[in-house]
Amino acid sequence: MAEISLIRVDSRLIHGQVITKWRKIFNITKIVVVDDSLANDEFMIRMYEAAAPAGVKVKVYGIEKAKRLWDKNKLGTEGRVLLLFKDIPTCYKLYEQGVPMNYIQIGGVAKTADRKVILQAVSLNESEMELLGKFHQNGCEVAIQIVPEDTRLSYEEIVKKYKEK
Amino acid sequence: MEILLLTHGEWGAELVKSAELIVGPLKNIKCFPLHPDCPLKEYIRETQEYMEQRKEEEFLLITDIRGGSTFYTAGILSRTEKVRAVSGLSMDMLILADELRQEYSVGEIITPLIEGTKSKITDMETVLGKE
Repeated sequence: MAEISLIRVDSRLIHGQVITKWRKIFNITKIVVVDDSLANDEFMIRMYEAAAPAGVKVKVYGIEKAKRLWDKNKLGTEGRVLLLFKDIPTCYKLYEQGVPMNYIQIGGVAKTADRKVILQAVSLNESEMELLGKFHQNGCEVAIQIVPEDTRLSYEEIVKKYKEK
Repeated sequence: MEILLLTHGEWGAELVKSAELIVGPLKNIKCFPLHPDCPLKEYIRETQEYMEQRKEEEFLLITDIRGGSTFYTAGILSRTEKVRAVSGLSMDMLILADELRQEYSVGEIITPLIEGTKSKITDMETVLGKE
Protein backbone atom coordinates (compact mmCIF):
# COMPACT_ATOMS: atom_id res chain seq x y z
CA MET A 1 0.00 0.00 0.00
CA ALA A 2 1.13 3.49 -0.77
CA GLU A 3 1.26 6.12 1.93
CA ILE A 4 -0.25 9.58 1.46
CA SER A 5 2.44 11.93 2.77
CA LEU A 6 0.99 15.26 1.73
CA ILE A 7 -2.27 16.58 0.34
CA ARG A 8 -1.94 19.93 -1.42
CA VAL A 9 -4.21 22.25 -3.37
CA ASP A 10 -2.24 24.26 -5.89
CA SER A 11 -3.68 25.79 -9.05
CA ARG A 12 -0.28 25.41 -10.70
CA LEU A 13 -0.21 21.70 -9.85
CA ILE A 14 3.30 20.34 -10.40
CA HIS A 15 5.66 23.32 -10.44
CA GLY A 16 8.83 24.73 -8.92
CA GLN A 17 7.76 24.92 -5.27
CA VAL A 18 6.40 21.41 -5.36
CA ILE A 19 9.37 19.86 -7.15
CA THR A 20 12.23 21.66 -5.43
CA LYS A 21 10.83 21.96 -1.90
CA TRP A 22 7.90 19.79 -0.82
CA ARG A 23 9.01 16.72 -2.73
CA LYS A 24 12.30 16.66 -0.85
CA ILE A 25 10.87 17.42 2.60
CA PHE A 26 8.37 14.58 2.37
CA ASN A 27 10.65 12.33 0.35
CA ILE A 28 7.87 11.95 -2.21
CA THR A 29 8.21 9.09 -4.71
CA LYS A 30 4.87 9.49 -6.45
CA ILE A 31 2.78 12.51 -7.37
CA VAL A 32 -0.89 11.78 -7.94
CA VAL A 33 -2.76 14.64 -9.60
CA VAL A 34 -6.54 14.37 -9.34
CA ASP A 35 -8.32 16.43 -11.96
CA ASP A 36 -11.07 15.41 -14.36
CA SER A 37 -10.11 17.67 -17.24
CA LEU A 38 -6.36 17.06 -16.99
CA ALA A 39 -6.98 13.30 -16.92
CA ASN A 40 -8.15 13.63 -20.55
CA ASP A 41 -5.23 15.76 -21.68
CA GLU A 42 -2.69 13.26 -22.98
CA PHE A 43 -0.21 15.90 -24.00
CA MET A 44 -0.02 17.52 -20.55
CA ILE A 45 0.18 14.13 -18.86
CA ARG A 46 3.07 13.12 -21.10
CA MET A 47 4.85 16.37 -20.30
CA TYR A 48 4.35 16.01 -16.53
CA GLU A 49 5.58 12.43 -16.64
CA ALA A 50 8.63 13.27 -18.72
CA ALA A 51 9.64 16.29 -16.63
CA ALA A 52 9.34 14.54 -13.27
CA PRO A 53 12.60 14.36 -11.31
CA ALA A 54 14.39 11.01 -11.16
CA GLY A 55 12.74 8.71 -8.65
CA VAL A 56 9.33 10.36 -8.86
CA LYS A 57 6.40 8.85 -10.74
CA VAL A 58 3.58 11.08 -11.89
CA LYS A 59 0.01 9.83 -12.28
CA VAL A 60 -3.03 11.84 -13.33
CA TYR A 61 -6.49 10.49 -12.51
CA GLY A 62 -10.05 11.75 -12.67
CA ILE A 63 -11.96 11.81 -9.38
CA GLU A 64 -13.72 8.52 -10.02
CA LYS A 65 -10.55 6.62 -10.85
CA ALA A 66 -8.71 8.16 -7.90
CA LYS A 67 -11.45 6.93 -5.56
CA ARG A 68 -11.36 3.45 -7.11
CA LEU A 69 -7.57 3.20 -6.77
CA TRP A 70 -7.73 4.52 -3.21
CA ASP A 71 -10.18 1.76 -2.30
CA LYS A 72 -7.97 -0.81 -4.02
CA ASN A 73 -4.65 -0.12 -2.30
CA LYS A 74 -4.46 3.54 -1.28
CA LEU A 75 -3.20 4.68 -4.69
CA GLY A 76 -0.46 2.18 -5.32
CA THR A 77 1.45 -0.81 -4.07
CA GLU A 78 4.16 1.31 -2.53
CA GLY A 79 5.65 4.76 -2.29
CA ARG A 80 5.19 8.08 -0.54
CA VAL A 81 2.44 9.96 -2.33
CA LEU A 82 1.80 13.64 -2.84
CA LEU A 83 -1.90 14.01 -3.60
CA LEU A 84 -2.33 17.15 -5.64
CA PHE A 85 -5.47 19.09 -6.61
CA LYS A 86 -5.90 22.13 -8.84
CA ASP A 87 -8.73 23.49 -6.71
CA ILE A 88 -10.56 23.11 -3.41
CA PRO A 89 -13.88 21.81 -4.87
CA THR A 90 -12.11 18.83 -6.51
CA CYS A 91 -10.32 18.05 -3.27
CA TYR A 92 -13.62 18.21 -1.39
CA LYS A 93 -15.35 15.92 -3.91
CA LEU A 94 -12.81 13.19 -3.33
CA TYR A 95 -13.07 13.69 0.43
CA GLU A 96 -16.86 13.48 0.22
CA GLN A 97 -16.56 10.17 -1.58
CA GLY A 98 -14.81 8.71 1.39
CA VAL A 99 -11.10 9.23 0.90
CA PRO A 100 -9.95 10.14 4.41
CA MET A 101 -7.93 13.34 4.84
CA ASN A 102 -6.42 14.71 8.04
CA TYR A 103 -4.58 17.71 6.75
CA ILE A 104 -4.83 19.75 3.58
CA GLN A 105 -2.19 22.21 2.57
CA ILE A 106 -3.41 25.13 0.50
CA GLY A 107 -0.38 26.08 -1.56
CA GLY A 108 -1.78 28.27 -4.31
CA VAL A 109 -5.14 29.44 -5.59
CA ALA A 110 -4.98 31.93 -8.44
CA LYS A 111 -6.61 35.31 -8.12
CA THR A 112 -9.90 35.82 -9.99
CA ALA A 113 -12.61 38.50 -9.89
CA ASP A 114 -14.76 36.65 -7.35
CA ARG A 115 -11.91 35.79 -4.98
CA LYS A 116 -10.43 37.81 -2.12
CA VAL A 117 -6.66 37.88 -1.79
CA ILE A 118 -5.59 36.12 1.42
CA LEU A 119 -1.89 35.97 0.58
CA GLN A 120 -0.12 36.85 -2.66
CA ALA A 121 -0.43 33.30 -4.00
CA VAL A 122 -3.74 32.37 -2.41
CA SER A 123 -7.12 33.95 -3.09
CA LEU A 124 -10.43 32.44 -1.99
CA ASN A 125 -14.12 32.93 -2.76
CA GLU A 126 -17.24 32.41 -0.67
CA SER A 127 -17.92 28.83 -1.74
CA GLU A 128 -14.29 27.82 -1.19
CA MET A 129 -14.45 29.32 2.31
CA GLU A 130 -17.54 27.21 2.95
CA LEU A 131 -15.74 24.05 1.85
CA LEU A 132 -12.77 24.86 4.06
CA GLY A 133 -15.28 25.28 6.91
CA LYS A 134 -16.70 21.82 6.22
CA PHE A 135 -13.25 20.24 6.24
CA HIS A 136 -12.52 22.01 9.51
CA GLN A 137 -15.81 20.93 11.16
CA ASN A 138 -15.15 17.33 10.17
CA GLY A 139 -11.78 17.38 11.89
CA CYS A 140 -9.65 17.76 8.79
CA GLU A 141 -7.12 20.49 9.37
CA VAL A 142 -6.65 23.04 6.57
CA ALA A 143 -3.90 25.64 6.41
CA ILE A 144 -2.17 27.83 3.88
CA GLN A 145 1.52 27.16 3.45
CA ILE A 146 3.15 28.06 0.17
CA VAL A 147 6.74 27.02 0.84
CA PRO A 148 8.14 25.14 3.85
CA GLU A 149 9.81 28.27 5.23
CA ASP A 150 6.42 29.99 5.69
CA THR A 151 4.51 29.59 8.92
CA ARG A 152 1.20 27.87 8.38
CA LEU A 153 -1.80 30.16 8.22
CA SER A 154 -4.43 28.23 10.19
CA TYR A 155 -8.11 27.91 9.38
CA GLU A 156 -9.01 30.53 12.01
CA GLU A 157 -6.45 32.95 10.60
CA ILE A 158 -7.74 32.37 7.05
CA VAL A 159 -11.31 33.15 8.20
CA LYS A 160 -10.12 36.28 9.99
CA LYS A 161 -8.21 37.52 6.93
CA TYR A 162 -11.13 36.75 4.65
CA LYS A 163 -13.52 38.76 6.82
CA GLU A 164 -11.15 41.70 6.98
CA LYS A 165 -11.02 42.04 3.18
CA MET B 1 14.12 34.46 -34.79
CA GLU B 2 12.81 36.07 -31.66
CA ILE B 3 13.91 34.87 -28.23
CA LEU B 4 11.29 34.73 -25.48
CA LEU B 5 12.44 34.40 -21.88
CA LEU B 6 9.89 32.72 -19.61
CA THR B 7 10.99 33.26 -16.02
CA HIS B 8 9.74 33.18 -12.44
CA GLY B 9 9.63 36.87 -11.54
CA GLU B 10 11.58 39.63 -13.24
CA TRP B 11 15.01 38.12 -13.56
CA GLY B 12 14.70 37.60 -17.32
CA ALA B 13 14.61 41.37 -17.90
CA GLU B 14 17.47 41.88 -15.45
CA LEU B 15 19.47 39.16 -17.18
CA VAL B 16 19.02 40.88 -20.55
CA LYS B 17 20.25 44.17 -19.07
CA SER B 18 23.27 42.46 -17.54
CA ALA B 19 24.08 40.57 -20.72
CA GLU B 20 23.90 43.85 -22.64
CA LEU B 21 26.71 45.16 -20.42
CA ILE B 22 28.83 42.45 -22.00
CA VAL B 23 27.67 42.10 -25.61
CA GLY B 24 25.92 45.41 -26.23
CA PRO B 25 22.27 45.92 -27.17
CA LEU B 26 20.25 42.74 -27.65
CA LYS B 27 17.35 42.92 -30.05
CA ASN B 28 14.30 40.73 -30.60
CA ILE B 29 14.19 39.44 -27.07
CA LYS B 30 10.96 39.59 -25.11
CA CYS B 31 10.54 38.71 -21.45
CA PHE B 32 7.50 37.07 -19.93
CA PRO B 33 7.75 37.26 -16.15
CA LEU B 34 5.45 34.95 -14.21
CA HIS B 35 4.26 36.40 -10.91
CA PRO B 36 2.81 34.44 -7.98
CA ASP B 37 -0.62 36.07 -8.19
CA CYS B 38 -1.03 35.54 -11.94
CA PRO B 39 -3.26 32.62 -12.94
CA LEU B 40 -1.22 30.27 -15.11
CA LYS B 41 -3.92 30.26 -17.80
CA GLU B 42 -3.57 34.00 -18.17
CA TYR B 43 0.21 33.74 -18.43
CA ILE B 44 -0.07 31.08 -21.13
CA ARG B 45 -2.68 33.12 -23.00
CA GLU B 46 -0.62 36.31 -22.88
CA THR B 47 2.45 34.52 -24.23
CA GLN B 48 0.43 32.71 -26.87
CA GLU B 49 -1.26 35.90 -28.05
CA TYR B 50 2.09 37.60 -28.46
CA MET B 51 3.28 34.72 -30.65
CA GLU B 52 0.08 34.54 -32.68
CA GLN B 53 0.38 38.22 -33.57
CA ARG B 54 3.72 37.37 -35.17
CA LYS B 55 2.81 34.30 -37.14
CA GLU B 56 5.68 34.60 -39.62
CA GLU B 57 8.32 34.77 -36.89
CA GLU B 58 10.34 31.86 -35.53
CA PHE B 59 10.50 31.67 -31.75
CA LEU B 60 13.04 30.24 -29.36
CA LEU B 61 11.54 29.94 -25.88
CA ILE B 62 13.99 29.76 -22.98
CA THR B 63 12.64 28.91 -19.54
CA ASP B 64 14.23 28.80 -16.13
CA ILE B 65 13.67 25.65 -14.07
CA ARG B 66 12.77 22.24 -15.39
CA GLY B 67 9.40 21.14 -14.06
CA GLY B 68 8.26 24.68 -13.22
CA SER B 69 5.22 26.54 -14.53
CA THR B 70 7.28 28.46 -17.09
CA PHE B 71 8.63 25.15 -18.35
CA TYR B 72 5.17 23.67 -18.91
CA THR B 73 4.06 26.88 -20.59
CA ALA B 74 6.96 26.57 -23.04
CA GLY B 75 6.01 22.94 -23.61
CA ILE B 76 2.44 23.86 -24.46
CA LEU B 77 3.53 26.65 -26.81
CA SER B 78 6.26 24.78 -28.67
CA ARG B 79 4.13 22.32 -30.57
CA THR B 80 4.53 23.96 -33.97
CA GLU B 81 7.40 23.93 -36.47
CA LYS B 82 8.35 27.53 -35.92
CA VAL B 83 8.79 27.22 -32.18
CA ARG B 84 11.34 25.38 -30.05
CA ALA B 85 11.91 25.55 -26.33
CA VAL B 86 14.71 24.80 -23.88
CA SER B 87 15.08 25.13 -20.12
CA GLY B 88 18.14 26.11 -18.14
CA LEU B 89 18.36 29.85 -18.80
CA SER B 90 21.68 31.42 -17.85
CA MET B 91 23.76 34.31 -19.12
CA ASP B 92 25.95 31.90 -21.07
CA MET B 93 22.87 30.39 -22.68
CA LEU B 94 21.32 33.72 -23.56
CA ILE B 95 24.48 35.14 -25.15
CA LEU B 96 25.08 31.90 -27.04
CA ALA B 97 21.47 31.79 -28.27
CA ASP B 98 21.82 35.33 -29.58
CA GLU B 99 24.98 34.33 -31.49
CA LEU B 100 23.60 31.06 -32.82
CA ARG B 101 20.37 32.53 -34.15
CA GLN B 102 22.37 34.57 -36.69
CA GLU B 103 23.42 31.28 -38.23
CA TYR B 104 20.83 28.60 -37.42
CA SER B 105 17.11 28.19 -37.95
CA VAL B 106 14.96 27.40 -34.97
CA GLY B 107 14.81 23.76 -36.04
CA GLU B 108 18.59 23.44 -35.81
CA ILE B 109 19.52 25.67 -32.93
CA ILE B 110 18.68 23.46 -29.97
CA THR B 111 21.55 20.97 -30.09
CA PRO B 112 24.37 23.51 -30.50
CA LEU B 113 22.71 25.70 -27.88
CA ILE B 114 22.46 22.99 -25.24
CA GLU B 115 25.88 21.50 -25.95
CA GLY B 116 27.48 24.93 -26.11
CA THR B 117 25.92 26.06 -22.84
CA LYS B 118 26.92 22.85 -21.09
CA SER B 119 30.50 23.25 -22.25
CA LYS B 120 30.69 26.64 -20.56
CA ILE B 121 29.89 25.31 -17.11
CA THR B 122 33.26 25.17 -15.46
CA ASP B 123 34.80 23.70 -12.35
CA MET B 124 37.45 26.28 -11.42
CA GLU B 125 39.84 23.54 -10.43
CA THR B 126 40.09 22.47 -14.05
CA VAL B 127 41.18 26.00 -14.93
CA LEU B 128 43.46 26.68 -12.00
CA GLY B 129 44.64 23.16 -11.22
CA LYS B 130 44.62 21.73 -7.71
CA GLU B 131 46.68 23.50 -5.05
